[in-house]
Amino acid sequence: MATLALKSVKKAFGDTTVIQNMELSVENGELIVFVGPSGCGKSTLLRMIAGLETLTAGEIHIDGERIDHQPPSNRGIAMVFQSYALYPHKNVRGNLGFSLKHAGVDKTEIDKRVNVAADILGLQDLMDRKPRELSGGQRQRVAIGRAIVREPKVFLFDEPLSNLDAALRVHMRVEILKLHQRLKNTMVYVTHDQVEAMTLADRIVVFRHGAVEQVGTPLELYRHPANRFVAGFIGSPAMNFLKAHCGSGHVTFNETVFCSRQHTDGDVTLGIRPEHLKVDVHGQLHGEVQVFEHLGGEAFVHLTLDDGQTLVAKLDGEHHLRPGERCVLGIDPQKCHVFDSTGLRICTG
Amino acid sequence: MRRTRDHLTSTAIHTVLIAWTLLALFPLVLILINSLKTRKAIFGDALGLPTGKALSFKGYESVLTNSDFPLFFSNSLTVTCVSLFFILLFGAMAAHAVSEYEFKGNTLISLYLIVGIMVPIRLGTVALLNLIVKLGLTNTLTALILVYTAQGLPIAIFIFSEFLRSVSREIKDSARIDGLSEYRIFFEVVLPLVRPVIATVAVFSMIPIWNDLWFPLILSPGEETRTVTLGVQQFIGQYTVKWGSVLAALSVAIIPVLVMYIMFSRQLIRGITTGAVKG
Amino acid sequence: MNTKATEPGRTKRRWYILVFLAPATLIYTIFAIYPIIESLRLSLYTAGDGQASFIGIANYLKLLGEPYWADQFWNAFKNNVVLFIMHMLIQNPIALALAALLSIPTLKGTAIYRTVFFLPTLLSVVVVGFIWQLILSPLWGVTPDAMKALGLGQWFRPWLGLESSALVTVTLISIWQYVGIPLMLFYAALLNIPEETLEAARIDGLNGWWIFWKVKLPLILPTLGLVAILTYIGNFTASFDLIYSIQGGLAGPDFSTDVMGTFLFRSFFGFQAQLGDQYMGATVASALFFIILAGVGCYLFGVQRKLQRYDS
Repeated sequence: MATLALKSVKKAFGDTTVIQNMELSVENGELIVFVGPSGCGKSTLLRMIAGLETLTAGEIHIDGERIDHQPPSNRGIAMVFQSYALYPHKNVRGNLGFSLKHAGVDKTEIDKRVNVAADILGLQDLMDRKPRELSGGQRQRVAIGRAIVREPKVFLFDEPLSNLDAALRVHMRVEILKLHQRLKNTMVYVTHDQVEAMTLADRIVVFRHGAVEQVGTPLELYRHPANRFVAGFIGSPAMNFLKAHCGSGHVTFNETVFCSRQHTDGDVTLGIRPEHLKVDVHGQLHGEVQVFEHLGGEAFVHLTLDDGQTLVAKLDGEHHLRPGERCVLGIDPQKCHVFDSTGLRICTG
Repeated sequence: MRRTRDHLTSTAIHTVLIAWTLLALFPLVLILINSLKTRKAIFGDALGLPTGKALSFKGYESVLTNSDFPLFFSNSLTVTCVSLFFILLFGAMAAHAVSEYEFKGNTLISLYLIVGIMVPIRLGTVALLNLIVKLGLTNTLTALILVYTAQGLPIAIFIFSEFLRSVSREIKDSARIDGLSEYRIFFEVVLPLVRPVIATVAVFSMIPIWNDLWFPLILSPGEETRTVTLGVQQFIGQYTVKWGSVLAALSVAIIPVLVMYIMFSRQLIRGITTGAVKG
Repeated sequence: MNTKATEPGRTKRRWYILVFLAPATLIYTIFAIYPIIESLRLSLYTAGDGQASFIGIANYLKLLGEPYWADQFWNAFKNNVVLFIMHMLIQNPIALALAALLSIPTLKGTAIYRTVFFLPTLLSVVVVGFIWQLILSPLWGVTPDAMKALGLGQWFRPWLGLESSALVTVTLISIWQYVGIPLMLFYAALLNIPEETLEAARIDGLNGWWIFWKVKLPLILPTLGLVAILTYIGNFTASFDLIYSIQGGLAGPDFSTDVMGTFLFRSFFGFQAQLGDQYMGATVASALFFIILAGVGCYLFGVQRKLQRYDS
C-alpha cells in the first residue's frame, strides 16, 4: 500500500510529445483507472511508472520516495500485462515464484507467498501445468498471481482483460474488484474500455493525446463531464450531441429553451444521454425511426430528427417501434449538458 | 463421371511426381548398389543388385585405407557445426539488439548487416586469402569457420530480426520488472522464443557450408584440414580408373548425409516452409 | 506500437547493446565486407617490381580489351548467361510445377515426395558431379545400354566430353541437383495462400487449372522474383563448384564450360599453363561484383515498382 505521485511528468519521442506535463496524486489503496482511446498515452504513462520507459521530464514518487531513476525491479511495483507474459517453459508454480527466486528470497518464504497467491486466485489445482495447458482466464490469473507474490507497493495493470472473450471479461472484472477489496493495494489500471473504467475505478483519469481531460470518480465523470470528449467517452451508448444555438443569451433547440442561465451567443452543442430520453407526446424531439434494436429488457431506437440530425434513445423493453414510424421524445432538462464551440461544458440542467 | 475424372487427374499427378522421384533417386541408388560390386559386376550388370558373386567390399577397403575419409568427414562436421553455432548465436544476438533496443544508427546497422545477403562473399576471395595468410591461418579449420560464419550471418540476422519484431515485448518487460539483466533476458527469455526459426536458419546456412568446394580448396587444401567435399574431389581425381573405389568414395560421402537427412527431414522441411515465406 | 523498450538509469551506458552487436559485426566486417572492398581496391593495382603500383582502371581495360583476357572473359560471361537462361527456363518452371502439384491439398504422400525431391540438393555438389559423370560415361555403359533399350542407341554421345554439348549437359546436371531450392520456396509460398481465398475461387466456379493461373500464380509473384534473383546470384558464383569438379580448372573441353567462377579461380590462382595474378584476379572478381550488382539493382528496382503497384 502506498501513495503514487506524478509531478510535471513529460514524455517525448524525438519531436513528438506523447505525455504533456502530467500531475497526478494517487491515494493509498486507491484503484485509479487510466482510460482513453488508442494512442492517447495511457500505456506509455503506465510503463513510465513501471520503469520500462524513461521520463523526458518530471518526477515519479512512490510513498514519497523518488523512483524514476530506479530500475523496474527496485521500484516496489508489479505489473500484469495484456498478453500475460508467462514464461512458457516454467509451470504455474515456477512462474509464480520466479521473481522471488531470482531475488534470492528464502525458499520457505517463496512457498508461503506462492501458496497465498494460489489460494486467492483459485490456482491450487493448476500448479504443475505449463502455460500452454491453461485457458486464457487461467493464464491471466497466473499473471495476476505473479504480481501478488511480489507484495508490491503499487499494482500496475496494462489492459489485462483485452485478450479475453466478452463473457470471461465480465467475470474477471468482478474478480479484480474483489481482489482490490481484499488486498486493499494501490492499483493503477489501464484500459480503453469505459465499462471497465466505470465499474472498477475509485477515480478515473481520462486521457486524450497525452493530456488529461478530466480526473474524477466515475459518477463525477458521468454527471459532470468537463468537456464534450469526456461526455462522449463515458457512458454506453454514447451521449447524443445536437447542434443548437444560443441567441439572446438563451440556448434554444427546436424553439425550446433549454437553459435557464445566461450564456454568450453563438453555436453550442446540446448533450443528452440516451437513457435520459423518453417517449413523450409532448416532447420536443420529433423524428422518424431508422433502426429499432430490441434487447429484451431494454431497447435502442435510432431516430432521424426532422432537421436531419440523428440520435439514439434508450427505452425500456415494453416499447415496440418500427422503422419508418414517427416518434416523439422528451428530454429531462435537468439532465442536459451544454457545450460551447470549443467543447467545454458550460452548463448542466 | 466426376469421380473418374478426379481419379484420372490424381493418377496423372502421381505419375508426374513419381517420374521425378525416379529421376531424383535413380542416380543415387545406382551408385550405392554398385559400390558393393566387383569390377566385373559393375560393368557387366550395372543395374543388378550386389548379391552372391557380385558382392565385393574392395572399393570400401580402398577408400578407408588409402585416404582419410573419417578425418575429412569430421572436418566437415566440425566446420559446419561450429560455424552454425556461431551463426546462430551471434546472429540472434545482433538481431535482438537491432529489433529490441532503440538507439542511434539502429536502422543503419541493420541495413549494413543484411546487405550481405545479396553480395556473395566469394568475390572478396583474393583479399580474403591475403588476409588469411597474414593471420597465419592457412590450412586451418578456423579460417573456414570464420569465413562461413561471416557468410551465414546476414541471412540469419534477417530471419531472426523479422521474427523477433513480431514477438510481443511484454514477456521481456516482465523479466525486467523481475529484475533480470538484459543478458539474462536474452539467454533465458529471447533465445527460447526463437526456437521455431532456428531450424529455418540452420537449413539455409548448413547446406552451402557442407557442400562448399571453393573455400576449402583455396584456404585449407592441406591433407589435415580437408573437408569431405574437397576430399572426394581429390580422391576421385587420383583414382579415376578404379571404379570400385570411386563408387565407394561417393557412397561414403552420401551415406552420412542420407542418414542425417532421414532422421531430421521433418524438422528440416518444416523449418524451410515456416521461414521461407518472405518472398 | 513501434516504441521500443528503453531501460531506466539513463545515465548508465547501455553496454549490452554493443556486446550483442559486436561479434556479428566484427566477423562480418572483417571476413565479408572488408575483403570485397579490398578486392575492389586491388583491381586498381598491379605488381611492379615487387611493389603494388596504382594503375587506375588499366586492369579493366586489359580484361575487356586484350585478347588473352577478353576472349576468356566474354566466353565465360556468355556461358554464364546460357547457364542462367537455362536455369530460369527449365529449373524454375519444373520447380514451380512440382510445387504446385505438391500443394494440392487432397494429395497423398506429399511428405515422402518432398523429402525425396530435396535430397539431391543436400548432396555435395562434387558427389553429384561425379555420379553423373559416371552415369554418362561411355566407359560404363549404363546410359548407352539404357538408350539402346529405348531404341535411341545411336543418339548416345559422350556429352560431357564434347565441346558442343558439355555446357548444356553440365547445366542439366546442375538443374537436377538444385531444383529443390526453388521447389521449397514456391511450396512454402503456395502453402501460405489462405485457404479462404482458394475456397472463394472454387465457389466462383474456377477449377484446379484456372485457380493456379489466376489465383495462386499472381499471389506468389514476390517469390518468383526472389527465386529469379537467387538463381542469378547462384549461377554466377556457385556454378564454379560443379564445373570445377566435373571438368577441372580449365573448364574443358576447351573452355566450353568456363564460367565466371572458374575464370576467376584461374586468374588469381593460376592453373597449369596460366600464371596466377592476384591483381587480375581481383579485377575479374570486381567485374563479377558489378555484374551481380547490376542484376540485384534491377531486381530491387523491379520490386519497388511492384510494391507501388500492388497494395500489400
